[in-house]
Amino acid sequence: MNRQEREEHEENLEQRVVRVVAAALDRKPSEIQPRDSLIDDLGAESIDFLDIRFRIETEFRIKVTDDELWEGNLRAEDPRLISETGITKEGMDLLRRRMPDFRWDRFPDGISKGDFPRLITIRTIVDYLKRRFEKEGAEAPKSQ
Amino acid sequence: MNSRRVVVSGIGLLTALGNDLNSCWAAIQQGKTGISRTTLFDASGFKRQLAGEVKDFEPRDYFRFAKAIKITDRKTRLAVAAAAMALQDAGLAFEAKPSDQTFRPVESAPFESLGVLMGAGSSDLQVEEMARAIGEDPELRSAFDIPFFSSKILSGVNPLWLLVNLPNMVSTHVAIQVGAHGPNSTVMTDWIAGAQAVGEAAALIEAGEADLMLSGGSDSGVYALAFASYQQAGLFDPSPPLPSFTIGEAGAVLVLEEREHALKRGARVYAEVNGYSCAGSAADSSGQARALRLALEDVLAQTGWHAEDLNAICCASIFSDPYWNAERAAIESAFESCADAMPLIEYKSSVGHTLGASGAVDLALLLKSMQGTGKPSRALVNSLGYSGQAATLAVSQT
Repeated sequence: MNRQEREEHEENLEQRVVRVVAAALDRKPSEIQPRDSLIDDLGAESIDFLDIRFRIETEFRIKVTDDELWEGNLRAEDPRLISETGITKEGMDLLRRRMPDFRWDRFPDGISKGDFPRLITIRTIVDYLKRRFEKEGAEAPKSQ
Repeated sequence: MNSRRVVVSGIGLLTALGNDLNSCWAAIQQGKTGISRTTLFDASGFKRQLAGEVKDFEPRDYFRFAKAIKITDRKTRLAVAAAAMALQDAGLAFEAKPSDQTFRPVESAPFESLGVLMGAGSSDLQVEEMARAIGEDPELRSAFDIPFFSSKILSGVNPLWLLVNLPNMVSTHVAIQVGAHGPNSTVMTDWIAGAQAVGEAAALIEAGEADLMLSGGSDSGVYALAFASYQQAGLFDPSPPLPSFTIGEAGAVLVLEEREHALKRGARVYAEVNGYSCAGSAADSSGQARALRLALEDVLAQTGWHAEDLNAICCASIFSDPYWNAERAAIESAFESCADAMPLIEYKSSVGHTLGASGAVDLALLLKSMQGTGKPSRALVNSLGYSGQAATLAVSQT
């Protein structure tokens, strides 16, 4: 893929994720921004995560094991980024760089482990899919 | 005598005749039928292609939390809609929001002790979802390899499938949508579920377990699996002079309220629930007749009413399904020489057999018919099950 093709592919990926999440959460795609937190902005509850994962699997014809879909931005390659109670200062710096438009003002007292699901955004899913298809050297399969 | 008495103070109804109580009743008065060609699925392969479908139903108009619609089946949606309308009809805590005509609870909703006890039928099991998953197996290996079927094909079914199809979801979603935190249960006795739920809910109020209950029945048989089952069971074969069985669907919810509670808040009262009984017997026509006779006799003993006291018996099966012979035999046994003079009415020929909703549909329409007559009236509602169960409710307007 050349650069233009890759940008179009990513654009398309994002639209498809937005469409899937919108259907699962009873929203209009036009209401959804890439930086939206599934929980805080889009009202997702625990069962919705099961549903979204299934719909992503069906849309992209893949199987997603365990929670890897949600780890995305949160996965810290360096264990020093995550402490017993939450994310270390280094971890926060890394997250802020990766998610520059996220609404960090929602966490004035830092981020505890219980807050992790609130960090899952549309972008988290798009980034996961992008990494996965890059690693596999494949394009995202077309919608059915 | 029990000092706690139970009245009906609100009704919400959706049937093939209309999407609220008044339009259903107006259609009955005009002699209309709600039965028409099935549109909810392609019934062209079945012997019977007519059904009593609820038309132009938009669950979004009634769900406070629309996201939940995806985890509900048709009967749960009809139940939520009927419950919202019943609460509004009872003057309780719901008001129409003029901007979008959806139902909203007012902030003072006194629903901490509001209970929900609904009768509900089967689920359509989302056969299309299953078929889609099986379509992923073009070589049909799953037909002979069950471990393969379980691991590879069923994993293609949405993980929320179970939530949609669990039988208790009718009462669950009604409670969630209206914010009812009181006793919550579901009666799953198929065709008599609606009548039985009302009887059981009234008993909870009499026992002091609750002052307010949402109760009734909700069911839809307008899906391929139900049509297939009833066709296999022979119910689509006409048995002259009776016509073929016609499947319907409905949501029928009543607000049951402790009488003093209702009077204190100045509620409009449709009627009092004076008696309830149910019985079970073998699943043949003599067993069904016996079960219904036992229920009828028990209710007459509870109320002290005699044949001449009754203004109407709302029949479960008259003119509309193969069980009229059993019901007629039960009425003849219970009322003996007076049986021929009993004033019999029925609604299924207008709305179809609404299965687990039917007892509550009949009760709702009967209570509406008693409104405004200006004279005291007493009536019974019969409900007759496919499997030899029967229930009878006694109601009066004073």
